[in-house]
Amino acid sequence: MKIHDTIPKLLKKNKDLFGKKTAEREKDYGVWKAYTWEEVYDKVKYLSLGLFSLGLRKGDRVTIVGQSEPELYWSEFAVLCAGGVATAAYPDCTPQEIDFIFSDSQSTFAICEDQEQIDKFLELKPKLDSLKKVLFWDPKGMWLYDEPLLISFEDAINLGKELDASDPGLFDRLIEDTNSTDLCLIIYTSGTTGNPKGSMWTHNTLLDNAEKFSLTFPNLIRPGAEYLTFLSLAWSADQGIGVALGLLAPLVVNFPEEPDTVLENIREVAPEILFVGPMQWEGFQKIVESKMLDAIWIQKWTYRFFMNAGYEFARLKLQGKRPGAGLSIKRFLGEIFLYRFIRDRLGLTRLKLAFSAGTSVSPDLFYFFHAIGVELRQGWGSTEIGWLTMHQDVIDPNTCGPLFKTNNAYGPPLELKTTEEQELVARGGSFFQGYYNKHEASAEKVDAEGWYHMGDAGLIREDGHVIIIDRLEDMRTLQSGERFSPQFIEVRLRFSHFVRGVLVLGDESKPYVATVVDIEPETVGRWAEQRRISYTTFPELSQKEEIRGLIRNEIVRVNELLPSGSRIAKFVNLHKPFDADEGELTRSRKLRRGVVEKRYADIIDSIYRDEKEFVAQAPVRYRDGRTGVISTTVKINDVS
Amino acid sequence: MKNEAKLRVEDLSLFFGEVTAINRVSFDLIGNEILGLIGPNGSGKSSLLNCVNGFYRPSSGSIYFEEQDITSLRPHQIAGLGIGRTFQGIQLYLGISVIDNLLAGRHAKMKSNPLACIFYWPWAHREEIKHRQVVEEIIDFLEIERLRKEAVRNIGFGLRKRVDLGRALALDPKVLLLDEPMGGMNVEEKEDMARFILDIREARNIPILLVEHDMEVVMDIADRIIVLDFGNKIAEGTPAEIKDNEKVIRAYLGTSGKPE
Repeated sequence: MKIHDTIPKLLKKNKDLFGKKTAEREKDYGVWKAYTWEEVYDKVKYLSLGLFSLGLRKGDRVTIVGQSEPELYWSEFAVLCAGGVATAAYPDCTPQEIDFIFSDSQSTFAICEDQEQIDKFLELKPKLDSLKKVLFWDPKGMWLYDEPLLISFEDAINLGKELDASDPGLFDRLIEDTNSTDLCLIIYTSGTTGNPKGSMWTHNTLLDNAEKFSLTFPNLIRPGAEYLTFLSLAWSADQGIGVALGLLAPLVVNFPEEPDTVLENIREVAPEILFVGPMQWEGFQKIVESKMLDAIWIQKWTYRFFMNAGYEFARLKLQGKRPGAGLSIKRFLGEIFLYRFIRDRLGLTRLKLAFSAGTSVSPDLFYFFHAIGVELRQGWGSTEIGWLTMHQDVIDPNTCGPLFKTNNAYGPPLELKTTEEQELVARGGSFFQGYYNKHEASAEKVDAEGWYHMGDAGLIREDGHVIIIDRLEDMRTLQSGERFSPQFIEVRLRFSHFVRGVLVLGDESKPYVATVVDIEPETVGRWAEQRRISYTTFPELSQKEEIRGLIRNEIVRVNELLPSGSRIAKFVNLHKPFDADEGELTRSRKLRRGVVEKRYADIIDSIYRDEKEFVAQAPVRYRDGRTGVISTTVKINDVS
Repeated sequence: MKNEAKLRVEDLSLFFGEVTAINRVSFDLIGNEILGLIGPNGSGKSSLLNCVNGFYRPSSGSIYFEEQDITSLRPHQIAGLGIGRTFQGIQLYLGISVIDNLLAGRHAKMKSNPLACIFYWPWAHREEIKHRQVVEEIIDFLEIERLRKEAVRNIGFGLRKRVDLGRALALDPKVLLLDEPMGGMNVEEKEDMARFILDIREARNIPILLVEHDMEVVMDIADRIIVLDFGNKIAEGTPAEIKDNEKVIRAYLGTSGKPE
């Protein structure tokens, strides 16, 4: 059974139920200011009536642009209450991008944060014929603006109050008039290929995505839990959590003061639910590590000792193994002497549900957070279909977890499978509602059996965990017809401390996948020293039997994640590092595949001729003019 | 016209022994204009500012602020009247936080005596809240929320200049004197600062006397410009007029060695 069928009705219910309890909190002028449900409701009510009195009617689209502030949420609520459709743009969008979103969604109103966004609309004004009004909430910098198109929140709210005085029942009627299947959001895809497309979301989609969380993690999400949002509403992921779960749970939604004070604000709020991207999670880790650089020796020693124990403990636990008694005691002491202090410094003391989504998170980052007692999870979904999977009981850094539980009121349970092309397809839940005004593009995404094609290649493990491999268009095919993703293998191999660069080989003319590995001389060198393996030069180190064995183990570990047909069969340790000066890497250390494949074509050939070794010869010119040849024997290794 | 002048400098001269730092300079600062004061190194720009806010006693001439003669007043009295300024070499307390520096800028406005502050009587408490509110508005205005609790010592030069501007604003000035607010900044920081200066004029409707080395910035944002050379006012006019002024070009290109 559904708890409530639309966002506006839910907002009204929360006002009635929780009235004086805190709904939102923002930091302004250095002080945290709380808004109760009644206050939020009143703001939304008059703003919504203000929009109505300016001419907004059911189904009209409104483009909203601003940083994550309470007003951003109020704007969306107000638009939805009036029966409108909200579409949010990222605050750093260029005027051209704003123009695209405004025109593609056929908006008639815009709501902006401040001068920065207003100026974009004023620049576009001659082009946007349908633009009726631009509302704004932060008047800073616009003291001298005299533009009839603009109207401040204050003025709009006053219009709403006038309208309410003359027609007191109007707002309730507007709310009653909203239906669960009404279009309420248009959320634009990132548009990596071509122009973005606007995915349509109904009230059902929003509430379904919120309920995925409350049903899957009933013990971790309590009513009144603190949540901190700083993601834009232009990202679908936060529509489901900040907006819909915020109403459903309900959560106390905290807004940071400025984008660059987020980490400080997290510490002040100590949220119970935290959803940030991999970059921000890495940011936390970097803070700790940079602070440790300035620490005194005893602190450094304590940190290293207990973090090593914590990493080991986390690694065993995440691999489903039982840590021994000694390690458990170290972990217990670590909690007393270290972990809880780190959590406190970062503001993660109360954290119950911590998750990341977007790009893949390295296992190391997972180990770090699990070591300090933060259960970081990874989720997966898409703008079109919403949240699909997240780590639940079992957290495996290599996967994005199994499917969410859903409420049958929104549709059949979620299902996921892979097609013959290894594409992940999904159905169930509130499902994909189509792209706005793009029937053809929408039809392309859903096949005859009603599966939505994600465009991601992936695997589903027996336990239901999904492993995302790559975007489908970046996949390659082997001679056997088996498809694989070079990037997936490269990224996973580079997660190893011993690997600095990787080139994965294989295409239609090759029978199997092979790889060229550039070892990380520092860690591999230290590893060799600890085992009293002597070497003089990088080429010698790279070809040592023990080192080849070390890399083989790393490859075997990655192979376990791959289907048997596309596992790495052979590898070589390159006798020299990939070098940016020689054009093999970009300056940001990304591999230039074309250059490298050409440069090492003879090694690659001998790998696929199944030779045992290859003699690499490099011409050198000495200072006195003589020339010579340096030759190194590169061993070609089988993995199994 | 004369009545409109917020700040009037009349026939001002300043000598250091035999050296003429300023030679009979007169000008008005009117309404809410941004008046640029430019000139080559050592032309007397900073000395002129120092006369206006009382650090130097002029050798002759007078300075009027809202029709009141302030020539012989002490610096703190002049600040109390509402003339705020920033400094070329930033004058902030390095060891304390940004917010405390800004609160120090409001010192002239505080009434509670030390005893009341020590015992933190209710009225001292209320007064602190009031001043903190004003300071927080400045922090919001200058977008330095992130630095609120950071010691000035730990922040970069460009941002220190912004804090210095905040400290001057904390005085609720009726006239603002800015001494090379963009000195030593990179292009981006200069753009930010230029925007803040324009915003201050818009939001507070006060005149600003802007001493600046960077000609381009001054030409962009000033309404009028005065050019000093060896203590003499050699030109006054709109940016366009100044750009084509023969004397100015000569002063800047250095073909004229002597004042006229």
